Amino acid sequence: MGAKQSTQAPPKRKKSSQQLQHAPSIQINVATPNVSPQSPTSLTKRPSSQGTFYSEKQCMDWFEQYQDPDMQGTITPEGMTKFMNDIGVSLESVTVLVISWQLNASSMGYFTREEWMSGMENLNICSMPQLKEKIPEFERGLQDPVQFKELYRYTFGYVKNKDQKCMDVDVAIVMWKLMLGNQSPHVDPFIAFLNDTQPVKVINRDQWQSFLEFATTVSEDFHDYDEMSAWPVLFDEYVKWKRGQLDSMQS
Amino acid sequence: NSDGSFQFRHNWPSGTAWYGTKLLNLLRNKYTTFVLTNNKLIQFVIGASLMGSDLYNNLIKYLEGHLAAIRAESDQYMDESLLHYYTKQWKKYTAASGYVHHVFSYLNRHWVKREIEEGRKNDVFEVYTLALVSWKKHMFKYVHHNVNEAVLKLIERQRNGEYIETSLIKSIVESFVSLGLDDNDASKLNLEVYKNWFETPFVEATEVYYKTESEKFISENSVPDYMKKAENRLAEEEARVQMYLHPTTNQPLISKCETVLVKNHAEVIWEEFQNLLNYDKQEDLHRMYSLLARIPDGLNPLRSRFELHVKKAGLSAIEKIAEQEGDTIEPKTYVDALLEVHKKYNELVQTAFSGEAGFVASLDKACREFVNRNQVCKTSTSKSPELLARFCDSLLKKSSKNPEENELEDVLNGTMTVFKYVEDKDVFQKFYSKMLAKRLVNFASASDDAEASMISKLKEACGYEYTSKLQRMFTDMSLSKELNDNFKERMQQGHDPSELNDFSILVLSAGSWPLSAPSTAFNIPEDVVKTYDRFQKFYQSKHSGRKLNWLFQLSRAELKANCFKASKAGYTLQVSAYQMGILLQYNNADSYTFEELRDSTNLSPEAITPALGILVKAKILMLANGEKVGDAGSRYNLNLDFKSKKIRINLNLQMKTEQKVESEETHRNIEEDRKLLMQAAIVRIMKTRKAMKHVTLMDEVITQLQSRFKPRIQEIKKCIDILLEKEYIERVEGQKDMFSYVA
Repeated sequence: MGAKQSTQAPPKRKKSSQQLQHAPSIQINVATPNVSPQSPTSLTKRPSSQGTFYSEKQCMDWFEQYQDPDMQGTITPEGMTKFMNDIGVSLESVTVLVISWQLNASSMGYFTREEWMSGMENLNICSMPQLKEKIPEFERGLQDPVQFKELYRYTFGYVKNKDQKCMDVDVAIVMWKLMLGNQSPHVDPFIAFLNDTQPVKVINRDQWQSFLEFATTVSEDFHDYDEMSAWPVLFDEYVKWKRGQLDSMQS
Repeated sequence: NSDGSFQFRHNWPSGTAWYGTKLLNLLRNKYTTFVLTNNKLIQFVIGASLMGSDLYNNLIKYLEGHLAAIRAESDQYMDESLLHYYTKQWKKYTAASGYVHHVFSYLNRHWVKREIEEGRKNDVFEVYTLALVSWKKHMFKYVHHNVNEAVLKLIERQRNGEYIETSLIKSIVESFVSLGLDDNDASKLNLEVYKNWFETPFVEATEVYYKTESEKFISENSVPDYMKKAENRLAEEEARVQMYLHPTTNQPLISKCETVLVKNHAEVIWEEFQNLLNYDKQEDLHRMYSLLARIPDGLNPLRSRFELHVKKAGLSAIEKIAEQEGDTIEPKTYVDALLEVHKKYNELVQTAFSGEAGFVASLDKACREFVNRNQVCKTSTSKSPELLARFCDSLLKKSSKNPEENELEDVLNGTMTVFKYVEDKDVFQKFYSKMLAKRLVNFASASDDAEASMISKLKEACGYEYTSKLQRMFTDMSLSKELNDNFKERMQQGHDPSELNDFSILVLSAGSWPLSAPSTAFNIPEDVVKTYDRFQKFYQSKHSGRKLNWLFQLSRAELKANCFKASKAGYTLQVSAYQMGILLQYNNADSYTFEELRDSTNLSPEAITPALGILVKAKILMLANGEKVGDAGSRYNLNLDFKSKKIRINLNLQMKTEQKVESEETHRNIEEDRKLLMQAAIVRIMKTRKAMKHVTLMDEVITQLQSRFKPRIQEIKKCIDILLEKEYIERVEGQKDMFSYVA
């Protein structure tokens, strides 16, 4: 009696989970120096003060300083730590993400040679001082919601395990604290909700992406939260939980 | 001169003689020549049409004088005597005018006609009309007020219960109606006079009368008495119009009465509704319905109160049986309780509320509430369909309590009434098919006709798809019968003594039957294995490529036991296949441990324990070395002293606990099926619509599935989450709450 009901259940779709990786959309283009200079928020549009000098050889040498001797062509977490230290960026800052995003790195803690070379060339950078000079500009760019959203979306693919479709909830919590911690009143309570009730083990792409909008648009007391709209169920549950807490505090 | 001559009868009606003779004198003296042919007939000719204008004006003057005299006389009358006088004069006058009209036929046809056609003056009329115009001008104008007052007084006296001469009023009304002359076309009837000088004041007087009366009455009497009063009054007024008023008065009069008698007291009447419901006062309820149906929105409060009342009645009926029966509620008790409430209020709707659609809707809404959500259901709307399906099973299963055939049809129709209100029709389907499968597999169905009747009812209610699997099950049964016959023939052709003599099998298609594979392994006993193999081969030769899964958990056997001392003839034991597996071991020894039996049958502890339990309980086996059946190291001895009054002993019983587990499992399956159904619906919808707003998608999913169950919003959302993850759909960038289909 093996046969089951003939209800049509959609089977799992096989699709490369990498396919939706977002590459940074804004790239430097040195060939158009007449780009309007009055958009200070946009990243990397102006040529660096060191001029438009770019040397592939110099860039390659620079890469080789950090690459893993046991794994040619790749900078591994060890080299990454050194690299970040050298350019004066804390490993626990958003800047690490920004730089990885600029180089379109696919895995957290790693740069491949290809990523490095094409990324740096796009940025028109081939040395540490050039990069250091760019960093404040990168950081300013995050003030722009559109760019921040790009970075946020990139982060999902960047930090999750490559063999998983989803992000472990612990990782997501760390990333939310890092990226949105001081931007939204929802981050701390949401994390508390995840820890207290343990509704999920992983955060999927939709939940990750929707959280940015949730965190930045829904008011702290949820008066504008609409259960009838398309939020993922996890957020409905969070709102219910939080409302319950607020109510019990009042009474 | 046939053209200009006119014949008329000289025998004037008695009352009009004076009019006629005076008039004839007038005519004779001045304008015409008369030829008196005999005493009765006068033929006269008006020769000169040139004289028309003179003649006409003289007629006017004559009428004026005549009417002045009548009017003067009227001054001495009032009230009823005035009415008498007025009607008497009116009748005389109009009758005479009719004659005069004919006398002046020539004038009418020539001078008057020309005057009217040329339109020089619009105050020239045909003679009869002229008479009416004159009455209106010289008589009516002066007396209508008093006449009307008198009429109203008379009507009021009638309302107070006195006898009155209604023909008087009827004549007055006729007079008022006749005087409605259209200025533009005198031949047309116009009700203006009647409306202005009678109807309007009459309706006003009615309002005042009933306002006073109803306020006084309702403050001194009960609402039911008041409603009787109001109903009578409305009927009286309707009769009044028929009796002596113009039919057009019906509308304004009755509408005014409805306002005064019903609408103005609606609040008080509404308040009484609950009382009447509580004491089941059907007549009063019907009266209330009829009265309130007359006014706009009069029934709305009743409908919603009725809905609430029925819902409460349903809930308390269920509460009552829940208290009496506790957790293990009998399906029959439950369904009967639901039906009783429905029946009572359905009858009330049909009789007291005339089957009005709004009340039918309220009844349905209330029933849907208490059928799906009550104390027995607790939080789950799937309890009712389960109990309903169990009830159907009890009706259709062979039993001493089966109803008679004609009665059964009624009971089945009753179950369909409840079914109509069940929200989770998928749950019913699941349980029904499970139990149908059991009835068929155990040959326990009481009647094929009843089974077919029930299925056709379900089909009618829910469509072909809902019952298609159920119907397939019957097909499999008849196919299996053929198969068994064929196999028997084959067996007879070359029978091996080690094969079973009596073997029958059901081959059922996996897709249609809600049966699952056994949860335990089972060593087929040696006595059976040959037949098993032979059938297997036989079937494969007929249908190569089909796979047979043996459902031993549903199989049964009969064992002839000759080992017991108490019966020389031996007992016949009806057992399950697993029990057979156990008992056949005792052909070799009289005692086994639990572990030995488990290993020799290869049954799992979950399967062997209940099978052993029944054998021990029936005292065929005796438990030794152990607290209870299934304990490690427990031992089971064949009880050779077993005794029974019956020769056939049924040991193939289902335990209550097994039934409970099965029910829980079915409910779980339903949840899974629903998730798949919802996902399939979402994908189907998104595939056709490509892009869709969240809310619209939700609505669409609910619409598509509600004939089977009521999808919960949160459940649909979860399915959307799953489909987003599986990348069947995605959010549309930059548009809030919008999804698109991923091709």
